[in-house]
Amino acid sequence: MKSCAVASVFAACLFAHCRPTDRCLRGATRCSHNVAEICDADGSYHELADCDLVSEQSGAPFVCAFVDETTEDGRVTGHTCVPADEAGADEGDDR
Amino acid sequence: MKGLLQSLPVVGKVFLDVQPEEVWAFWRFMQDHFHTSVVNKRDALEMQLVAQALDALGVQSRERFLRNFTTTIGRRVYTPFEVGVPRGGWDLWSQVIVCVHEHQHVVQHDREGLSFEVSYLADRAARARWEAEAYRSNLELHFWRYGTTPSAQRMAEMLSDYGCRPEDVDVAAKSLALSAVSVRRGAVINEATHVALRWLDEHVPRLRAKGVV
Repeated sequence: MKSCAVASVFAACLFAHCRPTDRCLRGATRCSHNVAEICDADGSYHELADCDLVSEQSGAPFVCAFVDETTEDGRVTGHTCVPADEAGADEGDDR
Repeated sequence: MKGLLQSLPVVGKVFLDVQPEEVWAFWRFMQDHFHTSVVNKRDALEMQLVAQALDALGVQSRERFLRNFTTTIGRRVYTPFEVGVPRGGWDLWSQVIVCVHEHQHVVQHDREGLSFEVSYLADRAARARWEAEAYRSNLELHFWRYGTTPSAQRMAEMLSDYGCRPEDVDVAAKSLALSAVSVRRGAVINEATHVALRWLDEHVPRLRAKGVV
């Protein structure tokens, strides 16, 4: 019975795509290696864009960096992939 | 509206920016690349059942689901239109966009396995993530065609139709806005877009915005 329960939890975890708890603020972003991540409404970080993959697909090197821009949607701040030659030294959490 | 104009006999041709045979060839190319098949939504019994279930659950009316939404399950893409035939709500360019959007779901299916489908159904935050990623293809294609990016906020608000919460929509809006920053700098983030742009650059370069490399 106990092993069945453990297996059920494991299966639920697998299907729910469980990952270690790293509670974060909704909408916070960060760079993890060269991957931009964003915190979802349930409080965990997920990949926003893999900048290595973006580099391959775009034909130019991209790196994960912090941006701060004003667009038609208002001010946009956070981490995303930008061309390597535009990237600043800024890294870390954006809250 | 544009789809309706394109579907008019004789005068409809005036409103064609992309030719029906080009749309058809593009879908064929994407299907071959991703090994997918296309099924008319109205002809599919499984879609009738899903529509019935969504209606009964109060998520969405049966008619709206069958008429307005393209749905992908595994490697099957269920369309509410016949590919290459414009109609109200589905002009030819929007058929190109939705093709790429749905094939990004196929990429997700290949990348995540069964957990993609399960989390899409069971977890609203996850569903918002999957859809935000797929809508990023819409954004990337819009940039390729017009040289601008559409409003991330308005795009994210469409997720309300998918049963997502306002907080999920907020995160999706930010995710799309940050993606737009990258796209305006020349990034191609989604695999389905990457594949699609190869075909579009080769076969319909006239549609690409000037200045977009």
